[in-house]
Amino acid sequence: MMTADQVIESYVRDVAHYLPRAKRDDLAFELRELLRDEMAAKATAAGRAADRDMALELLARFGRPAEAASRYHPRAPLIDPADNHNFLIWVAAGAVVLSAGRPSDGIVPLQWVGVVFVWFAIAAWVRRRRPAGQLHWRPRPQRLPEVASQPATLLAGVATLVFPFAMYLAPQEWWEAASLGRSVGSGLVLTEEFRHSWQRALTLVALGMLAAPYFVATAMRGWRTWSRHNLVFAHLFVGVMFALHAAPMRTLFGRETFGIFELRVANQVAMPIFGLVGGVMMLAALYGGYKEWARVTPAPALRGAVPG
Amino acid sequence: MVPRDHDGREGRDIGLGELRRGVLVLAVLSRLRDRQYGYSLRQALAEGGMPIEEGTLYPLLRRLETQGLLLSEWDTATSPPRRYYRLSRDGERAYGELAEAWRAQSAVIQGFLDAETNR
Repeated sequence: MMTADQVIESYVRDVAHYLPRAKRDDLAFELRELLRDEMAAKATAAGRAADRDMALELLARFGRPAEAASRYHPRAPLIDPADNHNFLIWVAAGAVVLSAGRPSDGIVPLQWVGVVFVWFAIAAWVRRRRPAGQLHWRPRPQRLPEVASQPATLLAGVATLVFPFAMYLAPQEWWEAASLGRSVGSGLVLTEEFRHSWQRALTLVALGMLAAPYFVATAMRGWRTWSRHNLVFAHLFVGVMFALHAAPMRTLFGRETFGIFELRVANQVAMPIFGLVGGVMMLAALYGGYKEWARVTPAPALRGAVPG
Repeated sequence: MVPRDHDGREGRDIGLGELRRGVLVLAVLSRLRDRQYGYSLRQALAEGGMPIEEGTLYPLLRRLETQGLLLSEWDTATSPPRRYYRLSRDGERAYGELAEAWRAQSAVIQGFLDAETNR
């Protein structure tokens, strides 16, 4: 059983361990004497000799040795506590993206955590050294989705119809038109099973839902909360459907597999691309959902008369 | 500061803690016109009605010394040897300024409290 003095000595040694070498012995010497004074007063008050339990009770009020040392010699945190929120968001978002890209490799997300940690640590260090430097806060104009450019939303809607919707609806014809007749033979001809599959029907619905909010925004001269939410949902819907395309297609009841394209090699090339596009769309939905979650309602003066 | 418990005790405790932390330096400086070592200072503060946790007071003395407000010296004539602290010239000046600020602040708060009482 350790004596009270031995417990104090152990504590002082551990506190000193966290202190700069130049201060170590001096602080340890003072702390040791102060703790002994406190211990003696405690023993006198208790009317018995100091023992291990009494020493532990006293030291509990000082906290862990690292905490006690940090009160003597405060050290700047590696990551500014004010950045914790952003740090976690960057770590989580990056880990999700990297896991989606390379699902079998758990090391990459861990490396990402390290990269983000180093970046935030450097940012904290730079801000401490130069509080008014490049990394200090600057005002930015607020982007107000309530007021959207009509040509921009119209263009986005038409582009969504032309590129993913029309291309998905009739890839062979789309490619022939896009390449001005210099087609790739019949490589993009769809199989009969796929043409009449529920996967294709649902995906066309999802792609239509992806284009629709842009036309709504064009008509209403801006985005409303519900139209933004619809767009996020449409991204998620399209993402899930495209991700399903990355696996062999199956009939609804018989569960027989079938290809998307008549040409076998076209399926081999297209399936990973569908998976990639599906992943990107799901990430876009995740980002859109985050933006909605993190959105701050603008001041009425900025928002104008447009209802939210 | 939002108290989480129903009777607001946590909020009150935090408020009291903040209040005491705010006057801690002034209280310490006020007791160090004459030299004191850590434990004797803690006793003096407690006897004066302001008990301070040892884990807070002792590091504070070192920080005030680093900031130039206190001077310290080991007295090896005593047994055991003690590290004694007293106000430096800058500490005297800081103490005067803090005391003046405290009186002004105290008058302002007293005014608020009186106005509230008379409502």
